[in-house]
Amino acid sequence: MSEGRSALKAVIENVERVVVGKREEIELSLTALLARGHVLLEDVPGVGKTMMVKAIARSVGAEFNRIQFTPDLLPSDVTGVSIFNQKSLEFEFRPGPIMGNIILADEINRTSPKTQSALLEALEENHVTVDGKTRALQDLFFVMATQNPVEYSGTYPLPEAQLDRFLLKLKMGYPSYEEELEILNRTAKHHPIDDLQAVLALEDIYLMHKEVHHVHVEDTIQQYILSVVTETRTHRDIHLGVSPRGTIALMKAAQAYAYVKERDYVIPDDVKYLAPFVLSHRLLLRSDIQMTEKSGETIIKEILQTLRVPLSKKEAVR
Amino acid sequence: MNTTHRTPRLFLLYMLAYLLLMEWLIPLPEVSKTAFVPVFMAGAAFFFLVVFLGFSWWMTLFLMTAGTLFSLHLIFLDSVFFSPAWWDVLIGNVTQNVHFIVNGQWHMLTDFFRSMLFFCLLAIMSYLIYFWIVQARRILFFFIFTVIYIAVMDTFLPYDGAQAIVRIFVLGFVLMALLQWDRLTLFFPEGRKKGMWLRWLLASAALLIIAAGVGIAAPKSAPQWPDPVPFLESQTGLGNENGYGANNVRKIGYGDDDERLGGGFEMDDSPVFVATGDSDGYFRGEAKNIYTGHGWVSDVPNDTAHESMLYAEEVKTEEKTIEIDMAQNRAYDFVFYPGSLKSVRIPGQEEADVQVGVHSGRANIVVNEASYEPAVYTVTYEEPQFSEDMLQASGSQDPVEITSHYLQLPDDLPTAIGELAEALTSDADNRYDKVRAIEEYFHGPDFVYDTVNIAVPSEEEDYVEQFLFETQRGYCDNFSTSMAVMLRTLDIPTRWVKGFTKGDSLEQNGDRQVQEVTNAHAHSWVEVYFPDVGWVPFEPTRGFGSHADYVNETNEAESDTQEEEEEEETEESTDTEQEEAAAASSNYTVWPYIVGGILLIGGLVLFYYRFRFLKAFLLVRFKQMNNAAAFTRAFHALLWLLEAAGYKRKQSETLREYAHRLDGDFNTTDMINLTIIYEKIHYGKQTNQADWPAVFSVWENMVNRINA
Repeated sequence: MSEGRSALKAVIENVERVVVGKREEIELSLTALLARGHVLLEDVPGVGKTMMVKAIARSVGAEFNRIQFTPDLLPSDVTGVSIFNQKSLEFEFRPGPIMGNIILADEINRTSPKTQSALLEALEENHVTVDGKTRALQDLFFVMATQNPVEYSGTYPLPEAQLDRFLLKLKMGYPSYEEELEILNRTAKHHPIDDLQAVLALEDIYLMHKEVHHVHVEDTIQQYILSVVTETRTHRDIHLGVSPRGTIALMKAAQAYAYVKERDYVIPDDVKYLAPFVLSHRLLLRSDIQMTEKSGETIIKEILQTLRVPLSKKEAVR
Repeated sequence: MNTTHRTPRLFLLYMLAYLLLMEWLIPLPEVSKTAFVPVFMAGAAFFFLVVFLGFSWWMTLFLMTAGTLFSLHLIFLDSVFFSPAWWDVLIGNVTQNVHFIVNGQWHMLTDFFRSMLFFCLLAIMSYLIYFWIVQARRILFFFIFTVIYIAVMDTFLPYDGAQAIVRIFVLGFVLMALLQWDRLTLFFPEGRKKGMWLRWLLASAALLIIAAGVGIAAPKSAPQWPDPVPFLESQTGLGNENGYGANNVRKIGYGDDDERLGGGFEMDDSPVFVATGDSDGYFRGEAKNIYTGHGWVSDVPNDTAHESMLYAEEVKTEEKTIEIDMAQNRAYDFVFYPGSLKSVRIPGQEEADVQVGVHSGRANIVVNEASYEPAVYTVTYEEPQFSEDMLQASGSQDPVEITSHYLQLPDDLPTAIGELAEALTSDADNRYDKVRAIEEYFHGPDFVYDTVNIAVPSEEEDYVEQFLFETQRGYCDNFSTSMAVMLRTLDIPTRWVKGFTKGDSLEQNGDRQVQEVTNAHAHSWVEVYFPDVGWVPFEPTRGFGSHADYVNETNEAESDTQEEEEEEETEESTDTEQEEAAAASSNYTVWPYIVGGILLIGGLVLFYYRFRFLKAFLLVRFKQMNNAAAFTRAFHALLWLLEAAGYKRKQSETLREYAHRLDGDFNTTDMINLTIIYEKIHYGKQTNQADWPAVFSVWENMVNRINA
């Protein structure tokens, strides 16, 4: 197990050579990747979303595809299409970009709901249905979808129910002055992404997927997760709380994060740290609250500030 | 938590300020009637300690109130501390005085209430000075006022402040120097080096000592103005008689004239004689039988015998001898003896004859038919042991010669005395129980033993009446006369006896004790006649034990006997001690207070050093940290200790967040290291991989850091 974890460290360092000062986001992305989840990135263009995904893909030796969502994009443009082969007189399936390992789905709120649901089905079911035929996706299938929060005209916001297909919702944010200076220095001659070598093979990732399942989650941690989730269901600012799917997601994310942090057990800090990323997009706030500055993230943080962190009992160990 | 740490250094500063405040108290006995200044000082010290330890406000309030009440108790109250009667007195006094205040009758305020206000003032001062020293770090204002106060005291009142001003000078400037250091290092923290403070202290102290020395040694010009004190005294008519109450003060001692009793007296420790023997009874001088309303005279026939036959044949006695060595300038033509005199032997005067007054018991020495004043003599006497059964069984059929001499009362004796005696003895059905009831009454909380502020009855007033119903304050003469007179109203024959108490033990010479008896041991008591028993002595005076042996034959181990023994212990206390310790003058021993005080101080010390004790305890307790379970307990103990020290984990805080916060505060990484081990054990179920000795030392470091 320790081998895999030190390899992860190498991945993080590798990605950091390209993406400056985004260690948290890199770790979280890897967390989602290891938990077999997907990430929704909400940020303005040009802050390094593509670079990060590309760098991760290269570091793990995975196939990287990018889908630029536009209003006229069709579901088959995502999933692939069967074409009649004139030579063999048969329909031949041409796989779409979703058949890759690591996919950047850029600006998914720009495309029609029909295309969106094609993508979201893939996210949840890990397979796509084309021409009535179900086709499985790759074993390593990791989507990083981005949403532009600034422009609203001509967009199709994702339905709330579909948002919780994403394990985490992240924001990149602008780099600091020093970080941006560092970016300038690095990219002056040529882009560092071109030099990036794979430090892992896909098989390593499959192994890690299995290992993450064995990360220990103590009873008290589960209780803590449940207390957070339960609180969202009774909170007065929240119309609709976190579903059991969200509960599972929080635990899976905590396991994967503990693994990224080179531990084989989850601690309360993992849960506390991940809860805003895992839960905030799964909430439906009350309409009057939506008008205010209060976001799901701040409400989750408020809840965490009031909940008791359970310590294990003294008698737990003899 | 308060950010000011209670360091020993601050404590020193605060104590210096305390000494400065004490300079305000020191002149009080000289310029006013204030007594018990040491109690006020101790009270103030207690307040200072309480304020310094920084309890919560309600604890401070409670301790200060308790301290005030206890001090007031020491000074004024004679009931058992916190008994219902005690509360009655306290509350009654306070309501009465509040009433006076509301009505503007300020001059009526009692000493008790004024003392209470004074304690409140001291409590406020203790807080104010704490504020000056600890918060503001300034003392100049208080210092200047202290100097002005002493200067005024010295100039306009009879107080001599020459030494006080030197003490204040040194104290005040040392304080100012140290506070200045505190303020300087606030702005220039780099000066806060180790040992720097000590050097600063030594330098300023040395400077001050030199300055004070020069000041003392330098010639001083004479005062510009004449001393205003004599002028003020002559104008106000005060002063020449030592302020007040000098008119009736006399010296205590043994005299013949007892016709006018009353008035205060001064203690006189000049020795009268030294007795060597194994007696623990009083030394009898003589008895008197006629109460005049103001004192005692004697009108008995001058029949004499060769021994004093105080007790009947039936009384169990033991024959003993005692040697008495009179002091140089003391000479009496009669002898002092314990018990009942059998014979007297005077070295070198074999023909000496002793003539004992049958009624007075006065044992005159006659040599060659002339009275003789022996310097040394040996008395053989009978020491009685009275059986309580015998006394209770004794009838009331007194011989005529007894009733004719010992039941006299003045014609104009107030009837209230007899009524009181009747009321007190209504439950008793025999003479002995009646006598005991009266004796017990004088031991009650209403009466105060005092030798100074004692009234003298006017010509129209009865001495006993005044004591029983007005003053209730007095010394042996008041008590013994009152008891004798009260018993006579019940037709019980009594007489008034004077002599000396046992004295102070000088040394133990084998089984013979050497006792020094001084004028201060002069005493008077009561003898009551019991048919078939004789004259039995009783002791009504507060704080003096019975000097006769009363034996309860039916059950010697009963508490009654124990009381007797306790009383015998207090018997050794002399008048002088009585005056000083008001608390001890009651029947109750001081031990509960001493033990309570020690417990209280011990408790405060424990509380103040609780972390040290706790830490020491924990370090020993978890010395054997060699498995996960022990570590867990130690870690939880650490969390508990941290919480007690004010570093409470917020409930929403994870252990790691808490550990990071603490490590930030303590500037270490120990806590996070311990937390990681704890997490491994509890969230990871990995129990067997730590290097326990190393973990223990990390834990030990962390524990030691708390409150450091």
